[in-house]
Amino acid sequence: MALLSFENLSFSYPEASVRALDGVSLDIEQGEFVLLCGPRGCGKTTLLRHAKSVLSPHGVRGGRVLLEGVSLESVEVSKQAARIGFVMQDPDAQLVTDKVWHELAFGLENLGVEESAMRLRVAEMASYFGIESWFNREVRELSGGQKQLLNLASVMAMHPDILVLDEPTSQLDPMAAAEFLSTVRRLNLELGTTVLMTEHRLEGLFDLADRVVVMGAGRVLVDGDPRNVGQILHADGDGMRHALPTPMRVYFDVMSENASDASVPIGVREGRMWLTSFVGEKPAGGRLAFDGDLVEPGAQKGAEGKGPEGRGAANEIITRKGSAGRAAAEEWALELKDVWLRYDRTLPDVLKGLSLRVRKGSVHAIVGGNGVGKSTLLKAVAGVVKPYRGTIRILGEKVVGRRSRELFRGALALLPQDPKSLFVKDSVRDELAEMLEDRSFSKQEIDERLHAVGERVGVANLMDAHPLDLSGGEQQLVAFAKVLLTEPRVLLLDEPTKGLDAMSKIGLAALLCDLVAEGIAVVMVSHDVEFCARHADEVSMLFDGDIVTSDTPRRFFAGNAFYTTAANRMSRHVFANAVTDEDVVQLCRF
Amino acid sequence: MLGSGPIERLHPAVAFAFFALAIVFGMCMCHPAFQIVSVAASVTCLLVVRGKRAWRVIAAMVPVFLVVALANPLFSTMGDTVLFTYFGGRAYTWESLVFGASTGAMFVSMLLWFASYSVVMTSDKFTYLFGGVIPGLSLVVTMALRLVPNYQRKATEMVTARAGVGLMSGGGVRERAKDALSLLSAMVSWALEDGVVTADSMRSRAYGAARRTSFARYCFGRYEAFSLGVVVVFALLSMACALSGAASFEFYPTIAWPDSSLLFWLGLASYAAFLLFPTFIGVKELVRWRFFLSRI
Repeated sequence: MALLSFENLSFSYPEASVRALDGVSLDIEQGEFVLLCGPRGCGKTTLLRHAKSVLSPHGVRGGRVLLEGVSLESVEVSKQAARIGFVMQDPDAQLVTDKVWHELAFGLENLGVEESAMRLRVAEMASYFGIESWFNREVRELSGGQKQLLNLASVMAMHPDILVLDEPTSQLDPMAAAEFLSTVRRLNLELGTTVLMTEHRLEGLFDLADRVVVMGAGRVLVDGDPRNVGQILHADGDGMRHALPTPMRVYFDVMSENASDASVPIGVREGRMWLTSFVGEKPAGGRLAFDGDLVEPGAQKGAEGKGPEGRGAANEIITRKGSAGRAAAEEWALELKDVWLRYDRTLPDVLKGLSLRVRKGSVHAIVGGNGVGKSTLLKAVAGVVKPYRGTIRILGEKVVGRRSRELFRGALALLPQDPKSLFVKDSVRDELAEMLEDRSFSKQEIDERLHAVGERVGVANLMDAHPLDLSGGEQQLVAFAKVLLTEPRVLLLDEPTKGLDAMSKIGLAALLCDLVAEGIAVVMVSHDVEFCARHADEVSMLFDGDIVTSDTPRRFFAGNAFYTTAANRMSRHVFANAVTDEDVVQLCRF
Repeated sequence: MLGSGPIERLHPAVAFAFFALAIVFGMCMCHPAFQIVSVAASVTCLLVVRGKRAWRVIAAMVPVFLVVALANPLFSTMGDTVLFTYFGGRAYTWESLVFGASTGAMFVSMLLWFASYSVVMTSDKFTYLFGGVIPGLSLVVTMALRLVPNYQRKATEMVTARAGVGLMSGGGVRERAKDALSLLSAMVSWALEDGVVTADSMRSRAYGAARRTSFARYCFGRYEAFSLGVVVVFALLSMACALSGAASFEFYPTIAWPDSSLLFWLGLASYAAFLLFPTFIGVKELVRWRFFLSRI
């Protein structure tokens, strides 16, 4: 008997014309790891919320949800709470109490567990999750990754049979996300806890799952083995195909008709093995290099044809050819020289003599671990925090102290990491109009501008919605539109791809491409290695308060062994300098 | 940091009983000898609790004491011994100065007891003690404690985010007020949004589904019972002596030192024993570690 089953489940929200769920039937067996994916708004979250009576949304429902063959509604609330663990997206808002130990005990307190039994369970969970060292801390002192681990641990303390995870890593940086996922995997393997999880970042996830279920428009489209599902998704083309893990995409692109289920690589390790055997069969053999000479004809064609996706690669070939003569005459959009910054006299330096130059009309990506000062760097440029030494020039002009209002009209803008922090109005239209308030435009001019930016960013159809009702990706776009209304020449982006699904990322990339073509300089702080590799013109590594190295994405990522793209990791033993999956595909065809 | 020292490790009931009694008694005892004991004990207690960092707090108490002591004669001209006159004949009296010093000492010792209290009695200890008396209180307090820093963080985040796109509050008072208001309303809707998630998270973890128990990290064993006994017995003894007149003291019209009876000395000794209890366990621990370390 299945542990949890959805039987022909249909659901529609009140006053909605379309069904959010339309006859979904799904059985989750004991001990399975099921990955649920699909584009935004396909009903993933609605389905997951039906796995627990207290979380089920209000609306019209048909069909049944069964827990071990018993209708969920007839299972006691406390039993459901203990047996079905639920972890949501927002690491912060899910926490209830102020202390780590109290959070761990919270569920057990609610269940009325005896004190001695509770002590044991809390202690057990704290040691299993490695929480002992921060057991006595306040939750507000924790990092996002620690908070989400705590959410998982406090659910696990109730000893659930099944874990339902609703995009648990979407707000975490890749390192924290990987740690979270490996913990979930450990729970699944070692304790046999059943897992039902949704996620839009599929890189590195297919090899965790036993089964992948794809939803679209409230229905289950595909349900099966990860390798199978990958093939179907890739064949279908649009949307979800871009979300597939890199090794799978490369494999299907290279093999096209010859692809067979059994040999589909689902992770970097398998991708590497497949590539070894694939390249070994080719007469050329050896370690092919992705260099100007070697792949020139193919690369140029590929890069030009791809539009926004191929920017990084295309740009390098262009700059390699023409950079020598142009560099001297080039004007810098942004120059930082020897910048030192600390938040307080008694605190350590965050930026230590940092120097950086960004060309007009280019995307400069800054990567690095947590807490090395990436966001601080952007804030220093925007004048939100003040360096105590060093100079910052924006468009050739030296700026000191608090930035004038004029600088933010037509010169500089910073998109914050959390788009919600920019929202103060009740509708997207008011939100955007706020940016034009002090600029003495007529009503018609304002409307025109709003319309133009709405069309450009793709939020024209959201104008009357409440900003907080939008999805994470839409919120990001609205914030982006808000920032664009200042008509910046130097645009600072703090983690612009955080929480975006594959399609939204492609949209963002196209937008960046447009902006750069207009000569705007984009400085982007990001953890998203794949995005930087594709769309940046230059990548800098920030470490210990200073830029360690700056280079074109190809040379930058090809030189790294860990901090690099999945495509590079799977191919570095046979190809040199292949950074994106297109590179690997081209070299395979060479 | 939490629970590291011997006093922080005391059972919340013992710690709370001690501080409550020390503060209440400190306010009632007006005999200078008792007050000196209270000041001395509160200084040593803070030193045990906070270590070297306590000196800054203690140093800050000196001007507080001086201001209260020296200013009192300016407001009160009672007392027979005139030290000098000013403003054409207004008297600055010795008795009033001593009374001021006594008030200052009391004030300073209160501040110091509270300084130790705030370190020792953390929110979770307080809610542990009183969560049982008022059901649900412990959860409400702990949730409220989380909200304050949360709001602060969000407010800063919003102000920085807006500054980053040039929406900083400037201009006239009206404009600033309007800005602040829209920020506040945005904070409220943001908080409500978060509140929905928190409520979901609580319900999904069985909140309200059964009778709650509460998790405690403290055990009340023999050591705790003994400590509580020591504190309460000495406190009651000193209180009994004080009530039977051992701690009475007259400042006006002239300072009258009462005869130092046996009762007085007994009261003072038990008061000292009571107030020095945390200092004693702190020093005991210090000595024990020195001793052990020297043998290793």
